[in-house]
Amino acid sequence: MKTAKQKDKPWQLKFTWALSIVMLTLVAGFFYQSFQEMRKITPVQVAVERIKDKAASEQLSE
Amino acid sequence: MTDSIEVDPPSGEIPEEPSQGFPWRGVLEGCAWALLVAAFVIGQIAAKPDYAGMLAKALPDEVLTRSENNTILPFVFQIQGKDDVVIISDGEGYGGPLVVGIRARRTEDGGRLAEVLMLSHKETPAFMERLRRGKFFPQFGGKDVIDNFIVGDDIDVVSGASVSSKGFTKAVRDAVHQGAVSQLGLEPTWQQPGWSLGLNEALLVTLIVLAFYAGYRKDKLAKIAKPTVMIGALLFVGFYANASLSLSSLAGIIMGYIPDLREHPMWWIMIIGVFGSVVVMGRNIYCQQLCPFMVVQDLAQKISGVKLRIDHRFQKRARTLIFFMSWVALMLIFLSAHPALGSYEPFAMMFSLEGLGIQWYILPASLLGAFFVPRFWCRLFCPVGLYLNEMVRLRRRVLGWFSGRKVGEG
Repeated sequence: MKTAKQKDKPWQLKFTWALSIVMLTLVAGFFYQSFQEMRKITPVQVAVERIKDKAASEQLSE
Repeated sequence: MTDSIEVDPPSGEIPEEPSQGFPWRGVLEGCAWALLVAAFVIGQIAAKPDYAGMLAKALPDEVLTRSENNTILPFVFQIQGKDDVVIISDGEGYGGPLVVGIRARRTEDGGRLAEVLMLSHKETPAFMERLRRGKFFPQFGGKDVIDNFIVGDDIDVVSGASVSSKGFTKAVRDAVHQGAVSQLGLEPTWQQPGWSLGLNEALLVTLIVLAFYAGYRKDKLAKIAKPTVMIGALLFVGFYANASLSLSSLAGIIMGYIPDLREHPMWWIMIIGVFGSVVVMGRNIYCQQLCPFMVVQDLAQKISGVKLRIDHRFQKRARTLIFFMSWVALMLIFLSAHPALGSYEPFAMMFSLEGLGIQWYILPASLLGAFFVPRFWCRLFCPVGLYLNEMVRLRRRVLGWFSGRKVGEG
């Protein structure tokens, strides 16, 4: 609390501004990344995971 | 539009005076709401799954014929020229539904699970990564169709992704057992999943009760309860269960992605505890006590001992900023019907250390912020905190309206 009550030095405000702007940029980047992901999603999606029983798999490929 | 309610929104923004000119703010808010509704409707129409198409993509060499005409899952498909059946079913993950296709085949002594295909999922990437790394999927290989397929019984849960583990298992179980009865003609000898109530659920209830107590009382017990809840929130809600509330949890509820009560009581306990506290008590116990990321930020603050202040101009606009960010996030979520796509919070990643792309930078940046600015994330970026506090505010307004007194009195 001691530090919070002290008068802010200009560099402190600049620093917190910079931190906030960096964070905002990253969030904007996340939205861009999500938008790109969203464009990839089509109504028909490919299987992302396949778990096979080896023996059954061999029989299936016969 | 002004009122005198003091709820401490995460941003601490001071309500603005009403403008005398053209109501731009109202028009903008109206447009934002209309766009959200439109995105929701479009997303729901576009996201209608084409199960036959999914299977055709997953099994390109097979000719599949739908063998039943039921309208709800599970759907059964016959593979032409083979004795196999493929059955599609779904389960609820933490971020949304998981659609699974299983391939079952008759054997001399019954039937066997020959293949499991995850056809689509809307799960938070961190949880999917956890399942993959936790060797969760290989457990299903070669299982008998009359096995129980119950997490905690014949399937091991992956800690930190228990909702996803159970959702995936439920989808496989429904499909396999449907095939066993309707296609292979087997008698149901397997166990039905019961209520999944145990130590974890008891711990969460205890934490919520203690959080209530610590929020209301100021006696000795309350003094002990507060740090206990914080430690519990960090270790149990955060690192063990990874059950933080996020924008995707809230959006998932709106889209009807609600996990089964019997199998995911922890999800229900958390939701009922948090929203119940808002509706019944008018308190946001989640942000004040239960949020594990808040505890992480407080720890970072304690370590650094530095308490820088945010420029008041930025702080003043933080509430509007969070609304805007969450609006963009909700647009993405509703359009894609995929809650994880809009969840920009670092919570899931913090407690699983799994993430994708830019999430790897959001987490350290938010921790760095918390190192210098008390509750940096909560105050400037957290949509959950803002919405919960807005609900508290709304509750006060409604109560004030019902009691016929001026809002903010008493």
